[in-house]
Amino acid sequence: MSEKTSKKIKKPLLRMLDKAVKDDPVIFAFLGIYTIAAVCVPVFTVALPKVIVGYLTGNAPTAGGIVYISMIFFAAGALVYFLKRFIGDFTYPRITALRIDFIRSLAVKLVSIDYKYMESASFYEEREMAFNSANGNDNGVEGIYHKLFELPQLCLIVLALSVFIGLKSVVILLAIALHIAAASFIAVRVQKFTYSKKELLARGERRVGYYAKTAKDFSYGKDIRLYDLKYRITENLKKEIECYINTYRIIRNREYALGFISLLTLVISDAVIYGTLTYLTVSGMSIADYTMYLAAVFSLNSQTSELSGNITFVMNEYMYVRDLYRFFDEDLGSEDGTAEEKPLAIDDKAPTDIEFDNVTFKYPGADKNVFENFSLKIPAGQKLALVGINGAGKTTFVKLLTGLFKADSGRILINGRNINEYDKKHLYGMFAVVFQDVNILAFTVAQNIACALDGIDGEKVDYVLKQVGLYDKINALEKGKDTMMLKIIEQDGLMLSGGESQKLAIARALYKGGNCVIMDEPTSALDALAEAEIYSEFDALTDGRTAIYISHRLASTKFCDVIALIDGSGLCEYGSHEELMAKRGVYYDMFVTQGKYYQDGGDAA
Amino acid sequence: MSNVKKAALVFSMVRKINPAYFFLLIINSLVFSGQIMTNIVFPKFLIDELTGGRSTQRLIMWVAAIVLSNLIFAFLKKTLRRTVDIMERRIAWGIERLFAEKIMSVEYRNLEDPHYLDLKERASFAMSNQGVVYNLIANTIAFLNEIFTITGLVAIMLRLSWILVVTLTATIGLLVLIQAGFSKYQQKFYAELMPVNRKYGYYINLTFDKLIQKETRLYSMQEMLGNTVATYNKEINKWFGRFYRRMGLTMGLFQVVTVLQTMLAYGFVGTRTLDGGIGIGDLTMYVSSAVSFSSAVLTMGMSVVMVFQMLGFLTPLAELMSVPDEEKLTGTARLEKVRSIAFENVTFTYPKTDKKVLDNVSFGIREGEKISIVGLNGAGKSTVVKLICRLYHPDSGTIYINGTDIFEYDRETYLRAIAAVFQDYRLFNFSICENISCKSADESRDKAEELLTKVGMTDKVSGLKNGIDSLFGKEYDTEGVEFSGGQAQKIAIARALYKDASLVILDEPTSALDPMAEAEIYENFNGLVGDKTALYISHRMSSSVFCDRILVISNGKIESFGTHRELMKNENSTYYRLFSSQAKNYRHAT
Repeated sequence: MSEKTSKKIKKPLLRMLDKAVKDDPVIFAFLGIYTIAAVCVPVFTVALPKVIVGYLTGNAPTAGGIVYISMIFFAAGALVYFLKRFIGDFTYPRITALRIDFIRSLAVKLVSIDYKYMESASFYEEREMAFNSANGNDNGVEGIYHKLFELPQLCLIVLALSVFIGLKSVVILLAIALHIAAASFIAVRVQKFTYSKKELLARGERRVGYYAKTAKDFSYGKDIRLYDLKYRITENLKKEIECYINTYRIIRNREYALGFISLLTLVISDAVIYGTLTYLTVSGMSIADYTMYLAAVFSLNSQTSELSGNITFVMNEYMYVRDLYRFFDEDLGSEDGTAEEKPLAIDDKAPTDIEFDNVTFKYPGADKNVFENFSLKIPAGQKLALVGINGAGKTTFVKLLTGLFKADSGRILINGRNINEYDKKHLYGMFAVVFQDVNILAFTVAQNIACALDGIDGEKVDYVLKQVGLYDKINALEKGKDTMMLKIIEQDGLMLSGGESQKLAIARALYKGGNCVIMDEPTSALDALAEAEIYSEFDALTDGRTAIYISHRLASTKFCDVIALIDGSGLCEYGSHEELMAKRGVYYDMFVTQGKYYQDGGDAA
Repeated sequence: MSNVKKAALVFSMVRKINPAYFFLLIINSLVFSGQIMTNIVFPKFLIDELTGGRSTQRLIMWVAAIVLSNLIFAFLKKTLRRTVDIMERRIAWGIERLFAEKIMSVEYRNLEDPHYLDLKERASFAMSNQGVVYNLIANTIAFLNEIFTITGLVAIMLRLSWILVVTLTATIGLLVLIQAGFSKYQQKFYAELMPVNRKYGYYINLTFDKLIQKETRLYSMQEMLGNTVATYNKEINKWFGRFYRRMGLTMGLFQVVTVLQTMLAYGFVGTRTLDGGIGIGDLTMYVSSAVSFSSAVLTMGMSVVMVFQMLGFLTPLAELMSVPDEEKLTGTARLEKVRSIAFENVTFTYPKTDKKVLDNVSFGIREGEKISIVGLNGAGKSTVVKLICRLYHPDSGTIYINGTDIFEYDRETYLRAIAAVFQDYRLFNFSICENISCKSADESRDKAEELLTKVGMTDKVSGLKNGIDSLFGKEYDTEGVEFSGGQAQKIAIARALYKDASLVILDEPTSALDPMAEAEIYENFNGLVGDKTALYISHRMSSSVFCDRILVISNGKIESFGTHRELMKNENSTYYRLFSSQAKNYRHAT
């Protein structure tokens, strides 16, 4: 909004035009033809009644003459009307094509900006309309392009008709102008009012959307049935719909109230138009001219209101497009990061050492620190098990380390360098992370592993598939690793079980390489044998790199060099399994608690 | 499903939401056509007066009549528009609500059938992306408006000559011919585009999906997603390029026919004026009637085409809405308390798959028993539980509770008898209290607080600004609170306990819990569950130690069913292998 930014950055409308000139200059040629054809249309509608009526009220009209006039008008009219429509439709998808880059930029930016925004609900709410302006043919970016396409012909027609009518009677012109001005005024006011309510509307829509979505989400089906929540959800949905309708009604009522102004101007302009033309005719104007001017007035009225509609539309959508551009321009910490100097690249697979130095962090909006002056050193190549009770901050640790969130104070160092100095892409590149919830996407197996569409190293994919023990299964498929996953894109897509999905996620991490491996609860959904398999592969997976293993299953700590036990306030215990067991502290308690029921069967064996 | 049936469905849905709507539509159409009529008839009198008597008084009267009628119609239209628009929103959301209600009412097994998932996606796509409801309403309105208008215009034109009406109708036949060819193409086009559009929708939504955002960044998937979205977009755009060229030609021809109609009207009425039968005022009236008639018929035709197209898009929704509600399918016996459960030769296959998850399985559970169900991933443990919850029907065989086929019980008492925490349990954006009790907060707060203590969540919850009345989740309200997986799981357990059912089912209840919380839940649980019958599923093998019996499922069969000590005797058994693989890590811990 500030003056400074508006000066520095080109106006969005100019940027849109620049883009059209650059991407598809041919559109402007079509615009030329379209405008010429469109301008001829009102000539046809205005001249026709005058010529016919004039001929009929003139000297000795004949049937042949009427047929002759009709045929000429038909030929000319057909050509002009056809051209306008055809060129308009022909250009439409070319204009749509201009929008594709906006969608692409939006998609890329959304998945690139700092992760913290993703966990903030208001982030989406505030920008929903801006995001919408990249999607849809009739609104936002594309809507504006389409309206701009109409603008030249509308301006020309309005100008020509105004001169034409104005030469006959300025009063009529003024009356029309008054009415149109009132209508535009109302439209602008209503749109401003709607814009001021946009967050309220968005919130209302979100709330209705939440209940509708939840009710329709099949994964909620079991709980809704077993806890008999149908009635409650339906009632809440009804309530939220009422709320939304009420907001909507406020807007429509405002529009309705303002609309009375235009009723007043309508009476004035109608009275002036009919009164003046009637008066002129009584004072000697021909009846043919009467019909012609009446047609011209109708034409001017409709063209002007279309023009003003176009302008208010552009002004209104412009606000959202401006928001969209602002989102594109805004530094939300996307990949290039804030580093002035690019740090040296770290060799792939070279283990890094990691240090948390007095780190304090709390989630935005939360009132309790997750970490307070937390310090921990992980030497290069060490395998660290991170354990702790629920809510101790284990996953937060991963988010901070990988740069998804920024520490409030203190430093996180990788190879002695503050992670904020690395560029984001490079920082992300250092970590191979496996989360508890695996997200398989509807791409091929190979693409899911390589996280790229092309340039995939097929041999490496095979190699990592073998490492995680999925190779035989994948290779047995008809299309092998090029098989599409999930059933969304292809009906016969590959579905993996929970354990297999987890293995695929590990393969993804292996393919990526990186300098540090992080596993966040990778086995909590797996059966005991699958779990054991992953433990046994852990050494191969880390391959000498620094590794961090997070799990509630304390058995997993045994193959780690050192265990860090954190609680709500920070590092609580630190040492090897043997050391911590000997210490008989919190870790010991946890281990014994978890292990006690296993003693029974063990003895029986 | 026939279009008539679908139209009837929409009609009945709208009637349910707002019956006054239909009445309003008729008024709306009367006003719409009324304005067109007066705009055609009144100017005739003014022109007649101008070409005739030129009495000042009459001229003023007719000018005033035109101005006033315009004012009145503008006022009526404006007033109606506001009311109709608001009603339209209500109807669109109302249909969404009925759709949501339906999904919550049908038998659960439908929800795991990919066919219904596909139907739901297509129905949702039709409603949100293709604007079916709005388009249907708008075109129905247009249809009604034009029908009224056409009737009026024909009445006017017949005063002059039936030949004009017939000639115009003939040219309209020409339009229908052009339109028919295009319609066919259009239908084929959209049918072919649909799957491409659906795929595109998946990828574009993916970029908004919060769950994948960690991966997209850490695995730099930006290019992959961005390029896929752009590629689909370009492909769809190329399709539309062809489509619009064809449409431009068709609509261009339409315009030519429209011009032809205008010229025919002028030619015809003009020659009649020559005969001296009618004046200039009549000429303008008949010509504008003819022009309005052509455009009205055109609009009406388009609206009919659109209505049919929209009804076509509505097929998935209509099919979903016709699935019977579960309530209508269950029995009438009342279940007071679960005293025994028995599976008798139960075989089960998930819809649209061919692997038998359970193959001729029989076993029995007695009142008060604590049973652990054990097996590898995918062995069918959750399936057993879901079958007991009546979420599915067995392919063959019968499940008995208290000796009665479970499907003979009515829905209400049956659901009351069972409480379950599923591994993919869900909490709702209600207050914490309501999440636990599934009732309004006022009647349940005390008991809910008691249960929070039992699952060890009191500290966490009382630390929140609104305590137990805090809203869970941020989707509904940005002020809502979020819990970690472990904390949410505890709430889900509290919810199951609140229900006070005689059968308690816990499917992976502690997978996200730390060892202390896990032990706490298990150790308290026997106390909490008391003498109720309980079924556990867990990958933590230690949890089966304190169960009375363990049901081991392997390859769709019951491998064994016995106590921990019995099962550990066989070193080749699945149970032994599962238990030992975890146990060895904890040996000699003390």
